[in-house]
Amino acid sequence: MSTPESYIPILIQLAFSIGFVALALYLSQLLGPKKKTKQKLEVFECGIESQGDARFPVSVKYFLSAILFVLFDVEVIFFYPYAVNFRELGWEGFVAVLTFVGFFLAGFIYVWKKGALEWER
Amino acid sequence: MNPIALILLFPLLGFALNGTIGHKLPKGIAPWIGTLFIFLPFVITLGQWDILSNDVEATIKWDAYTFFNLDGIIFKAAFTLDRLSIWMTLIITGIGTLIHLYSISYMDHDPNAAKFFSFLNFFVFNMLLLVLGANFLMLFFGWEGVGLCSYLLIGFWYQNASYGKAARKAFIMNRIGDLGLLLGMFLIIKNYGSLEYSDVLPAIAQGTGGSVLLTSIAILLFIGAMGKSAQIPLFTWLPDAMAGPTPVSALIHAATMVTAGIYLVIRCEALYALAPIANEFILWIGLATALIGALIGLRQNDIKKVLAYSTVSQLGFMFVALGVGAYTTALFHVTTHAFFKALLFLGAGSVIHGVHDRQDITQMGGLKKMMPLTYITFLIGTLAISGFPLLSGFFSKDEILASVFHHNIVAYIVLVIAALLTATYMFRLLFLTFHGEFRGTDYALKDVHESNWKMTTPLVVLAVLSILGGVLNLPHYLLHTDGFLASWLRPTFLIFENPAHTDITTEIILIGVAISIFLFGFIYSRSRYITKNMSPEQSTAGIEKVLSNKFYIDEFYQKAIVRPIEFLGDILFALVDTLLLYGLTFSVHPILRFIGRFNRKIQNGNIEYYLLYMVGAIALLLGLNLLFA
Amino acid sequence: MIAIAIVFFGALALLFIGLNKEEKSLKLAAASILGLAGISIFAESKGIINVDAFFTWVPAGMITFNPTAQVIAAILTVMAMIIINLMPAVSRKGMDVIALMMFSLCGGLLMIGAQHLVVLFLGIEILSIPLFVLAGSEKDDIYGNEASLKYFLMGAFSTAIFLLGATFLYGGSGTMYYHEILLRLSFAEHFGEFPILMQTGLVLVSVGLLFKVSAVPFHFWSPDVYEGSPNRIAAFMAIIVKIAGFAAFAQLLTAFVPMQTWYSNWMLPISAITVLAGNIMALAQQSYKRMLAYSSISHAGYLLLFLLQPIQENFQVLGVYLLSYGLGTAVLFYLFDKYATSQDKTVGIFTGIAYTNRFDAMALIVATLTVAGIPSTIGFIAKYQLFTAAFPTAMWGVLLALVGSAISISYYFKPFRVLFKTESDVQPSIHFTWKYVCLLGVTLSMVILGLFPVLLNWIF
Repeated sequence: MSTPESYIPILIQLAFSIGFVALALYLSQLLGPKKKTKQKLEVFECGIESQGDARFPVSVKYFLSAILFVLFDVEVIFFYPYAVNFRELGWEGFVAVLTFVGFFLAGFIYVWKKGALEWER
Repeated sequence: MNPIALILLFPLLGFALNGTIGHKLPKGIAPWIGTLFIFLPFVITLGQWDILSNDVEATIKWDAYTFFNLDGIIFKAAFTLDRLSIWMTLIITGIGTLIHLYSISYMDHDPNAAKFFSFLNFFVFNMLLLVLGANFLMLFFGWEGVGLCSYLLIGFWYQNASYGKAARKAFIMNRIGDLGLLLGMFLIIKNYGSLEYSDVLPAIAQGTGGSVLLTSIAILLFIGAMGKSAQIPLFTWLPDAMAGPTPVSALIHAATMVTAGIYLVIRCEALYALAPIANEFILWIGLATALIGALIGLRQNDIKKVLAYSTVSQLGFMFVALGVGAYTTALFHVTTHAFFKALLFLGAGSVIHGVHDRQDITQMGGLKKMMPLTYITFLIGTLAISGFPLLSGFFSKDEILASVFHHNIVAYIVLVIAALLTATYMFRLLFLTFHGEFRGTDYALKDVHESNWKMTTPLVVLAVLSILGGVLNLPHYLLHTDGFLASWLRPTFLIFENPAHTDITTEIILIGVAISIFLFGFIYSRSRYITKNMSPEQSTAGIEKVLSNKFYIDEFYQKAIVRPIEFLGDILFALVDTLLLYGLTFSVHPILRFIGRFNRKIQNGNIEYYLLYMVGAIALLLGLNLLFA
Repeated sequence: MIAIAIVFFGALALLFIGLNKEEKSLKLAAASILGLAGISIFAESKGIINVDAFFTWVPAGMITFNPTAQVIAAILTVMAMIIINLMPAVSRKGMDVIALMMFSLCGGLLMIGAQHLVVLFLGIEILSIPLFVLAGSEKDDIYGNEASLKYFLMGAFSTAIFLLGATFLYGGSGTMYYHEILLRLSFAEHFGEFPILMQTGLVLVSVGLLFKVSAVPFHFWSPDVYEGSPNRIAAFMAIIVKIAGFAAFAQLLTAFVPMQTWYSNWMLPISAITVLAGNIMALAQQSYKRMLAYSSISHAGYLLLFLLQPIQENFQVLGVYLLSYGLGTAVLFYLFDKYATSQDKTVGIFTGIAYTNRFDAMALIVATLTVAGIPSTIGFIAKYQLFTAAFPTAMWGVLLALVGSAISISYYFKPFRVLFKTESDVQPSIHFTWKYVCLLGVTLSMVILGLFPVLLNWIF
């Protein structure tokens, strides 16, 4: 089972899949028709005309909101395995998850009190 | 709480209090704290007397803690109060209290009085450590501690450069002796695997160790004693130590610290009893010291210097007693000497105080009318040290002479001469200071004043002790049994001291000699300084010049030891320092700079490089491990 | 292990209480929480209290403190208390910095108690992540930001390496429990060869930990990060991370006793190069803080010597050394922080403090003697014990460490040159504040423990 040879099928599959993707991309560029006009090369931005550079500093508030969102998003991820094992884990699992949610809630309240969720400040 | 802990704690507390907040207290409080914290241990020690006197075997022990355990050799802070150490403790704290009391008024005008008292307290603490310690380690701690305090106190008026030099001299001389003590301790550890008295001394007494070993240990320890107790050739620091305030001279350089060497030898009685060569050595060193100290004392004109040389000479007497194996006698002389020498020094201090800080006896004379109490007490001290019959010094000195007489007749004759000189120079001092005409030039006799009660009370107490001190160990021919001290100390000796009892005829001859010594000294000095009314000699020629220049010993040391060492130092400086060390340092510098530059290149602040180095290191680790797997 | 709970909930409570309060006003509360935690651990180690019954839900054997590890944990907590107490609080609202320090401390405690690779990993992460933030806690300081980012990137890298190593270890032994790993290795030793997965795994896991304790050549972050971070965070990193890292490392290596001769083969060169490089580079530093950083690297080198010998729970030596290192370094960081200005960070900052502030000068002298390992301080006892313990297995390492100690004197003693120089007639003024009491306690304990090492037996 654990001899290096037993990994060969995986390696073959890996090589095959990478090769297929690379080949497909390359072929589509090679075979596809190309008509380059000025309008076609313009950055497409929901129909609105683009202005300036994309690399300008964004207000830190966006990042803050984003990272808070990610945090609570990740919290939710943990509910899925818990939901699946709800019955098996019983009361002990329930208490554990409650603690977990409690800590998160404390964090949420702190963030709220701290005023991180207020846009205008 | 263990009484020993209390005895040690109070002086330490006094030191800490006076040393930290003493100068902030209202004026006059700090000295009283210092005095009280010496008096309390005295009382506590007295309280232990009964326990020790009721039971011959009784000792009070205190194992404070273990410092460390080195391959089974345990170094611990252990203390013991036995018959020997309680005796010493009583002398230290008793006389210490008197001297502290005296200092209160003596240091009255000094702005640093609190510092002075904290040093004095610390001194007493260290001295107690020395005598109460139950092993050589504690003895060594105390030994070094008193050396340090002596240094601090001699240089107490450090604004005067020569005082600072005197302090340094005392320290260095003591260090030379300490080296001997340390080497002796090393030998003891190596051969007996312990530093506890209770392990080492019984082992020695039972005959462990060859005679060469015992003799070397004995002589090495004695070298330590030579430094502390100012024996030839390490005695020159003691007269210079008179730079310190007079109470210091009285406490440290007469009554207590200098007797540490004698205590050490008495404590190691078992060792010295089995090392006859070392005993001979001690005997002759002591004799030479006694004689030379007395000779120099004849022609000194500084009131404290005379007393200092007298101390040197008297310490010589004590070592002579130790050399002939008369340990009780030596301790007896330590005790009486502590009484009368403290008295003399304090009296001298009173004189110095009275004549406004002058010490030169050529500028004194006729003070007896102005300072009657000082005069009477000083007279008593002089009589005691010169061996006036029935005063304390008479008994102790006579005992030393008697024991030497039985041992070696030549030594006896030399010692008689030294005793004779003692009487002579002491009466010279007395007559020149208190009798005759007033010779002062730059101040008037009417300015001279008697000191106040705080200074005279200790004088009176010590005078009484000097008179009655002989009671402590009355001789055999009076009691027909052993004196009190002799029977008190007997249980502490491991090897029984065999007192030589002389027949009554010899005894009478000896007493006759002793009395005639005293009479001769008295009459000679009287005829010179009272009858002929000679002024102090400004010795310019011949033997007198040699004496007043202290045999040129300091100059000899300067030429024979200090100069060559300085020369060696110069050579070493040129070779080792300049060539080797500077060379090394300056050649290290470029290397360091190179490393620094290299480091700056690596530590350049870019983490991509850092990560690269780390990956490289990991690869190297893994690669090498796989390679050598 | 009720202390972790105390510290964690204490920090949480402080966060909420301190929402609109000055950090200064709650500093003492934080310190007392940590003191309480320290006392509770100490009491547990002496068997005075027993709270295991509360923690039955912790999976068996994942976190276990033996008594000596508990003492080290107590030392860790007390160190955190000392740092928070000594170093000045910023005048800003909110307790986030101190709370994050306490959270980080929880991670450190977890690391010391870990008996399972995952718990160790969690401990490292809980220790590190707050530190990444803390390094940049002075938001307006560009160097702080740089330090924070550097630490984060390199820390993430080292964590990845650690995880990879843990995976290999799991692959090689089929378990993550230390005691089971020890069992497997004992079997392997019996048959004469250790699986290559275990060897590789140990190397990689060690790299992760060596990074945390900043051993050469994984030390690059520490001078830069220490220099950029606020002083109290730098002190926290230098002391807490090192103590936790070494205690955890020693715990981990108890599982690898059969491989001891093998791993000391490559750990000895690391130790030697750490000692030499740390000391020599410290010599070349101008900034006192950077010098402290390199000095802490060299201490890591000495401590690695301890890990080379077979570790069978004789953590006492390690604990004494970590204690002495922590006390000395805390005082030095405090004094640096007190006297450094934005222009001058060299030893010149200490010019004349023997006259202007005697007490600080005393503390500086004692702390310097402690870190340099001069007798009469605990530093000497610690170094002496460490070197004696390491001597049988790593003679050359110890000899090199002695050379390194000799070099270290020349940079540690640099402040002494200027200490007694006077430039002004400023009268000494001491206002006895709480901080002074703390400093006095720390300074005295260095001397007292150095003079009476017997007391150490009572602590451990």
